[in-house]
Amino acid sequence: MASVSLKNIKKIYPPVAGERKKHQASSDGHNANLEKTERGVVAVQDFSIEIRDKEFVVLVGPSGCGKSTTLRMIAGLEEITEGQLYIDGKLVNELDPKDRDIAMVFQNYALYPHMTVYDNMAFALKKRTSSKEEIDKKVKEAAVILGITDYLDRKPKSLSGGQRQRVAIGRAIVRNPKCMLMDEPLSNLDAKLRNQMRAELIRLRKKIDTTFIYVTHDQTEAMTLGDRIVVMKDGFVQQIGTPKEVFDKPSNQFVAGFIGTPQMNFFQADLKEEHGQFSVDLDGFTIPVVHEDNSRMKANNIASGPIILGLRPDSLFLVESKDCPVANVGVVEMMGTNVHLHLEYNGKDLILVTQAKDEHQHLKMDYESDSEIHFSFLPQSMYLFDIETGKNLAI
Amino acid sequence: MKTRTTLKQRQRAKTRKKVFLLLLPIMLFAILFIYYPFIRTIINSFSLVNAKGIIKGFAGFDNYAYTYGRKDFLPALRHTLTIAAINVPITLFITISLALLANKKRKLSPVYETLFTLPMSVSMSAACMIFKSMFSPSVGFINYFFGLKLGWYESQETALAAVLILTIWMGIGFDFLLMLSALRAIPDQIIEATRVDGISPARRIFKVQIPLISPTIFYVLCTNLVLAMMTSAPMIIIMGVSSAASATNTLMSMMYQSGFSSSDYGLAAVLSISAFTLTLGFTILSFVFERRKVHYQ
Amino acid sequence: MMKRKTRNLIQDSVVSTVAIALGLIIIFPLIYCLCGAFKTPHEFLTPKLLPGSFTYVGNFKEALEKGNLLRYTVNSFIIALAGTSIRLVFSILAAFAFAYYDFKFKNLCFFLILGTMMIPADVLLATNYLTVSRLHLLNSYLGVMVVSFVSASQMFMLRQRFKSVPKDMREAAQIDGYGDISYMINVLIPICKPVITTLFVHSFIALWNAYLWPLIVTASSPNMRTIMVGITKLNSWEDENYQLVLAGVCISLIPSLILFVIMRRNMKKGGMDGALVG
Repeated sequence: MASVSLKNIKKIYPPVAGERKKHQASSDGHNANLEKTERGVVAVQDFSIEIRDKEFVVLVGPSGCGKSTTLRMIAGLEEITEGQLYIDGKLVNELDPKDRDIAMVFQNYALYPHMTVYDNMAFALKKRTSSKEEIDKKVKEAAVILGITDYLDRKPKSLSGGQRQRVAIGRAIVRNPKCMLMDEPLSNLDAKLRNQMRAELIRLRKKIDTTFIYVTHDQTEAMTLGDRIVVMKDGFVQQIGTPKEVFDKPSNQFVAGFIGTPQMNFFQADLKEEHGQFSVDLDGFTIPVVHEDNSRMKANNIASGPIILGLRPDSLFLVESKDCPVANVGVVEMMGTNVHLHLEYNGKDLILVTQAKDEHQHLKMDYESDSEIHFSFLPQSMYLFDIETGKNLAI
Repeated sequence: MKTRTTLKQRQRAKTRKKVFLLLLPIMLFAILFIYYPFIRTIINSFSLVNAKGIIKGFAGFDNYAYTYGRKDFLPALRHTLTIAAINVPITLFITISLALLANKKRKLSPVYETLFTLPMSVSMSAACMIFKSMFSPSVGFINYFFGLKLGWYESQETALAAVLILTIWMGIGFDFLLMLSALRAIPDQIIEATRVDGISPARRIFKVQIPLISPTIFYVLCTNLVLAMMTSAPMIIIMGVSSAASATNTLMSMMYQSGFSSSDYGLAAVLSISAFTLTLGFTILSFVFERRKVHYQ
Repeated sequence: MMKRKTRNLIQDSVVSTVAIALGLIIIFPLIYCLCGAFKTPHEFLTPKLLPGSFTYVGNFKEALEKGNLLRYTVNSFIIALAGTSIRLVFSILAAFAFAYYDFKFKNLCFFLILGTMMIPADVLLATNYLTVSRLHLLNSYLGVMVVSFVSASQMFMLRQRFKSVPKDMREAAQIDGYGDISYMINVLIPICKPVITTLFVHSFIALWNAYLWPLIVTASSPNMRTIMVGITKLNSWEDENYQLVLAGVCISLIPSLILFVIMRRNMKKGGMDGALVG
C-alpha cells in the first residue's frame, strides 16, 4: 500500500572475473547486446517511473532485458548502482530487503522444503514480533483467500505445482507488504494452469490492496494483468503505458513486434509525400496515410524515403482483386476460431489471421499450399517506423 | 555518492568480520594441529632436539645419517615396502572380484553386501585383538583349524604375514563399497551392448568393466598405498612396544617407539618425514602411471 | 522363455550362495570374537569355535568391572560425541563462509583447509603430543579430541551441499527478514539435515574407533583411556586371557555396528554421494 518511485535507476555489473557476480548477472540470462562501459556491463539504463499506490505494473521484455534486475533492485537483493528508489516517499537505496517492507514471489517459489505450508507462511511473521495468535489469524486468513486451508499441515514436497504457487503467494500476502514483487511467478506452470492462475491473480488483486510489480516475459500476462506495462529491451525502457496504449501506439518497432500475438508483420516500404499528403508504397501498391497520423508526421517533419511498415496479422485480409499484393500460401494452422496462414511474400514470411468460418458458419479451409493469394489492409491499420531507429513515425 | 560508498565499505567490513569469525575455528586448529606440527617435524629432522622436544641447535643431515645408519632402519624400510607391495594388489584383487560378484542386484544382495562391508565398522585395535587371539600359537583358532604348529610371532615372516592378513581384512569393506558403486555407475546400455555383441563375460570384465572403473581402482590404489605405508598400529598392539618387537617394525612403528618410548624426537622426525616422502613419491608415481592407463569417461 | 528364466534363477542362487559363503568367511573374525567371548576360561584352552553355551557372561562382567571397561566406554562416548559435534560445527561454519561469501584470499583459505587431507595424521603424532603436553591437555578429554576438530572432507562436502541449495532460498529468507546466521540456523541446516546426519555418524565412528592418539595422550592416566585403548590392555604376554579380550572387543563393537547399519540404510536412501568419501 504505497507508491514506488524509481528515479534514473541504473545497474552496472563491474567487470570482475568472479564466478558469483557472473552468476548474478545472468539471472536474466546472458545478453551480448548490453552496453559495456569501462565500469562494466550496464544491465539497466536510466529507469524512471512513478508507480502509484495500488497500481499493478508489469515489467515485460525478452530475457536479458533487465526486468528481473530492476525487480531485484527494488527488492534490495541487488545493489542500485545509480539513481534513487523511493518506497512510500522514503529513500530506500541503503535499506536491507527486510527493512523495505516488500514481499516477493520467486519464479521457482523458493518454499522452505523442511517446513509445513503453515510454517512457510508464518516464517516471516515470526521475525516481525507478531504474537502467536496474530500470526495464526493472519496465516489462516491468507489460506482462506488462496484456498489452501486444507494443505496447511503439508510439506511443499507433497503439493502440486499450482498449490505450491499459491503457498508462495500466500507467504507474500500474510505480511501485508507495502509492495508485492513477483518474478515470473507463472512461468513454471503448464499452459492450462497458467491461464487459470492468471485469472486468479486478477481476482486476488481485488482482495489484497497493495502495489504490485510483476515481471514476465509473456506479453499475454502483461496485457491481461497490468494497469501499466513497462516494455524493456537490452537494459533500456522502450515504452511505459497502459496495455491499450502499448498495443495501439507502440513507441517503436520492437514494442510493436513484442506485444501482440501472432507477431506483427514488417515490410520494407517507401514513404511518399505529395501536397502534404503522405502515402505508403508497398511494392507498387500505394495506400494513403490516415489524416490523424498524417498531421502528426507533418508536425514531426518526417521526410519521404524508405520506412518499415508494420501490419498486425489480423488486419490483413484476403481479396480477389489482382491489383493487391500477392503471396504464396505456406503452412496453414487451424487454431479453432481463427486460421493462421503462413504466407511467403517477396521471400519473407508473414502471417495472416482470418476467421475460420464465413458468415454462414461454413468452414473455409480451401487454402492450398503454394497457391497464390492476394491480400490487402486498411490505411488505419498501418504502423510506420523509421528504418534506422525503429521509432514510430506517427507519435 | 559519498554515503553509498561508505555504505558499501561498511558492508564489506561487516562481511570481512563475519568471514573471519566463520573461518577462525577451523583455520586455527588446522594451523595449530596440522600445519604447525608438519612444518615443525620437518624442522626437527634437521635439528638437535632434546628429550623435551626443544630444539638445541642445527644438526644438518646428522639426524638423517644417524637414522639411516641404524641397523634396524633397513629392516623397517623393507617391512614397510613389503606390506605395501603385497597389500595393495591383493586388496585390489579381492575387492574387484567381490564387487563383480555382487554387481547384479539380487534378492539376497543386501545380505552379502552387508557381510562384505562389515569389516569397515571394526576399529583397528579391535581387529588387532581379534587377530592376535586367532593367531595365538597356543589357543588360537588358526593353528587348530589348519593343523599348524606355528609360533606366529616368533619369526619375522610369519609375524609380517599375520599383520598383512589383518591390514587386508581391514581394507576390504570400504574398498569393496567403492568398487561396487563404480561398477553400478556404468550405464546399463554399455553392458547391454556387450551382450548384444555377443562378447564373453570374461572379455566384458577385462575389456569393458575394469577399464571403465579404472578411476576408482586408481583411487583405491593410492589410498591403500598410503595406508599400507603408514601401518603402525598392528605392530604396536600385537607385538607390544619392546625392543624385541623391532623384528617387525615398519617406519611408522619405529617412529612411535623412538618418539614415545625413547623420546628421541630427532629420530622420530626423520622417520616421519621419510615415510611421508616415500608415500608422496609413490603417489606421484602412480599419478604419472595413471595418465597413461586410467580411462575417464 | 521359461528355460531362460530358470537358468537365470539357478545362476542367481548359485552366485548368491557363493557370495554369502565368502561373506561368512570375511566376517569370520567377528563370529570368532562373539563365540570366544562366551567361553569360560577353561573352554578357551581347547581351540574349538563354539562355546559350550551362550549363557556364560562372566567375561563381560569381568571386562567391565576389573578391566575398567565401563569407565572407558563412558570416556569414549564423551570424546566421540563432543569431538564430532565440535568438528561438525567448525565444518558448517567454514562451509557456510565458502559457499556464501566472496572475500580476499578465499581460494587460498579453501586450499589451505583442503591441503590438510594430504598430510597423514601419523606424521604429526610426535609434535602434536608435545603441543598438547605444553597446553597441559594430556590425560584430558579435550586433549584426546583436540586433534580431530578439523575435517577438510566434511567441510568440503558441506560446502558442496550448501552450494546446491537454490540461491532463491536465501533471498526468500532475506526478504522474510532473516539475516545470514539466522538463515543458516533456520533454513540451511534443516534443509541439509540428511547430509549432516550422515557426516555425524561417520565422524562418531571414526572418533570412537581411534586408537593411536588416545593411547599416547592418555598413557600416564589409566582412568582416561578410551575403550579402544582399554581393550588392548586386557591381556599381556604373561596372562593371555583372550576370552576377556574378546568380550571387551564385543562391547567396543556394539555402537559402531549399530551406527554402521543405520548408515548403510541412510546411504541406500540418500545416495552414496555424501555418505562415502571421507
